[in-house]
Amino acid sequence: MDLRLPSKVLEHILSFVDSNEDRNSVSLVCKSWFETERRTRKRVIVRNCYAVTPAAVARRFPEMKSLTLKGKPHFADYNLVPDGWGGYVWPWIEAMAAKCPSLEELRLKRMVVTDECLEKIAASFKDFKVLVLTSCEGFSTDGLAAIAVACRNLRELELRECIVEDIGGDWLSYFPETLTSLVSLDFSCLDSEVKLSDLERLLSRSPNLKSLKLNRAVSLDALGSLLRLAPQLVELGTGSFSDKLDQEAVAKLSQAFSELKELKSLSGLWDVLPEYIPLLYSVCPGLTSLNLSYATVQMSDLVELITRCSNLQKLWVMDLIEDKGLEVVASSCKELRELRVFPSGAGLDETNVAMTEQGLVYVSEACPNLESVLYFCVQFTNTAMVTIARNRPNLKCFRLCVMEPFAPDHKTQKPLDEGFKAIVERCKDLQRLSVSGLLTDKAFEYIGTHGKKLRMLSIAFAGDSDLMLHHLLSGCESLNKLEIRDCPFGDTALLENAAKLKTMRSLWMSSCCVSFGACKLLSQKMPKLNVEVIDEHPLETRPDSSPVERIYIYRTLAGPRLDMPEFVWTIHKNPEIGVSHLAIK
Amino acid sequence: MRGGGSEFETGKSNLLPAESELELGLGLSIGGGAWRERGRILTAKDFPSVGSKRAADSSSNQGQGASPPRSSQIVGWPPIGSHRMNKVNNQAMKAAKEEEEEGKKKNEPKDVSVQGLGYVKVNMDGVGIGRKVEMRAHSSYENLAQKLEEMFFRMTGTTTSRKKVKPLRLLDGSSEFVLTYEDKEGDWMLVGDVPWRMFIASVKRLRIMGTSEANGLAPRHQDQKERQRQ
Repeated sequence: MDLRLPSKVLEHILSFVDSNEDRNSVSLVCKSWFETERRTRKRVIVRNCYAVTPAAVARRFPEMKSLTLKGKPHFADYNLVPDGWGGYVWPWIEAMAAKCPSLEELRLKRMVVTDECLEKIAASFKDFKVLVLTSCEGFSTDGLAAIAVACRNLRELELRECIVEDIGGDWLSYFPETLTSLVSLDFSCLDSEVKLSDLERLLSRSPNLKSLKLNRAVSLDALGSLLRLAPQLVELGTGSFSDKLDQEAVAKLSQAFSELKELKSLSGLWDVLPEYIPLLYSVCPGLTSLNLSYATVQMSDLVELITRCSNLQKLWVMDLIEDKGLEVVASSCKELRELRVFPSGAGLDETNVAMTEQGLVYVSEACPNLESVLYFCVQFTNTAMVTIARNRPNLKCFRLCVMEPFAPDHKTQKPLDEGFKAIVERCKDLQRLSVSGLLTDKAFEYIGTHGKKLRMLSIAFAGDSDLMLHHLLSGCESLNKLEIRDCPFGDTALLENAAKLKTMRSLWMSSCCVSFGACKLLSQKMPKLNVEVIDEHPLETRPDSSPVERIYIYRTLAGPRLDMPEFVWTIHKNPEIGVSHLAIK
Repeated sequence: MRGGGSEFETGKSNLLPAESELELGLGLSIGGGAWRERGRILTAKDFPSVGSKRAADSSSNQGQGASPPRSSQIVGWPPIGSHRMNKVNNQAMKAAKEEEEEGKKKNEPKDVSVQGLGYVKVNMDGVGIGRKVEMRAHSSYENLAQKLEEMFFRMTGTTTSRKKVKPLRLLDGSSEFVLTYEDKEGDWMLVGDVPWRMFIASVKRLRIMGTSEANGLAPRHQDQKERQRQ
């Protein structure tokens, strides 16, 4: 008797299962569940593009509608990954074009995207709707034009912090007059000016446009007419906020802002002049997200805005806000969930810093929902961290960047071990942690002991010995991504905890003390890991004891990749072949 | 070879080859460009009592509130994405970033030699013969000052002499001598401003000079500012 659930019934049930984590579990139950699940999965996420081959993914999920891919390691954001390392999306687009032509959405992060790729997307996917590129590079505005002209049903085109070869603003004019489906447009990272009339016409025929993020070249004057054409906006990224406007223009702009009844998110505000801050007052009460990280105004002006934003959940700002300003945030923004404070550079030059650890303490005291923090600060203290941990045990993400490497607690001159101990001990749901300042092995013993839910950890200029790495790899059960730079250890801990690396997505170590010999051993011992050595000097002639510049280890089903540049070496699993490029030019 | 035993004693792995003669060092990639020369930096594993010593170091530098003179010259530090870096209106950070971008483009061959011996020449005004001191053998400014005192201020007395030698106090400006150093950029600075580790990475030569002459040197605070403006 066949006791299996009919696949049609199972399909129907699975249509309610959205989360990929759950779907992954479903696919492990038995072969028929695996088959049904894979045929019905619409949204595929591959968090390391080299962990699996494009062909395998295309084969497994033929009904894919949405694909998300991530390429380079996170430290590429800080120029630690040399150009040409990899992360090419072309093979993926080729594979999808052949096997999954009904693909509608592509979301890429830290990948190399060429104009050819964009043209292929435009040509291959008839119903293409969503293109979101974050921290990508390799394409020009010509590629954008190709997307604009061909994708008849385009809904989202977002370029977030991409490096684009900017040939001109013409690309915007390629959106056909028949395109009326636009919901989101973000070209904030582009430099050149788009024609205002093109933009106005586009907005006029996009009644569903909810999110618009302009680039710096869009003047304040132009902003007024754009806002009048899109009062339904929920997210707005302004252009430059610094032209000199006459009184009439200011009044009109103020009126336009007050018409934005749905606005929840505001960003841009480049070069904003203090006298224009009042223009924004009318939208403040409705805002849940405010990005002032490019607004170079002083504390008093920032505070004027913030006191009016009682519903704010997300605030990004520069350290120009000072402790006093953060005190205002604490008293005004009770709904705050995420706070990011970026360095303005002012702190580096002056010894009299007006933003210290105290600012964060204020916010942690008064904002009960605060769960995500990114804080750049010149110095910190253990007491402050202990207080913050006590106030906010619900923290999920704590990234503290004390900007001076090896800086101790500035009051006691002790390492910051105790402070981070309090954080990992109290914040039981902590998933992401970045540490900085003077730290000994003890700090990492604490993290290993208490950081059980920790998934991502970033470390720079810390620790004393191999024990540090050993504590982390043996203690942090949920560890998924570990990135380390300029720390004094490597071999022993790495080799002893080699098995741990199979349970993690990736490990990055640069300017540490990992020897070439250890890399070879590790690679031979662990067949399902790619051990990439990123180093300029030829490895064949190097002694085993020589340290390697960078090492990137990740689990993979795809074997060593074939697109490595000259400076990336993979240690061949077969010891006779030794070290190889396997580069295909 | 460095006091190699320490870091490999804990949990010897049978995966590690028997002769783990590893000449390893902490590379602080100072200066623009990912491929430039790295300096060797002492880590606490070289010294028995870690925490306290280092705490002592830091307190001896008037480290409180000291601006980080080098943090903007380290590759990829502070960890801010280049988009944000470009928009930030700060000369020091911008200049460092540009240098970094340049270095990446040139991709110049890196001299990989982890800095060999950590000996640094020391000269004292009025003393003809210079000495050499092994920087890595010292854990703190105090330590270094003590050694220099031994080298330069006790040699004149005989060993049997019970004459009390005036403590040098090279570091706090209260004696008639000050300790200065030449850094990688060729600038002469007063010793003691930066954290010990960073000092070791950048010191090229030491000089003990008379306070009267040292008055010609800009005061520490200003020095750092000037250098950052370049």
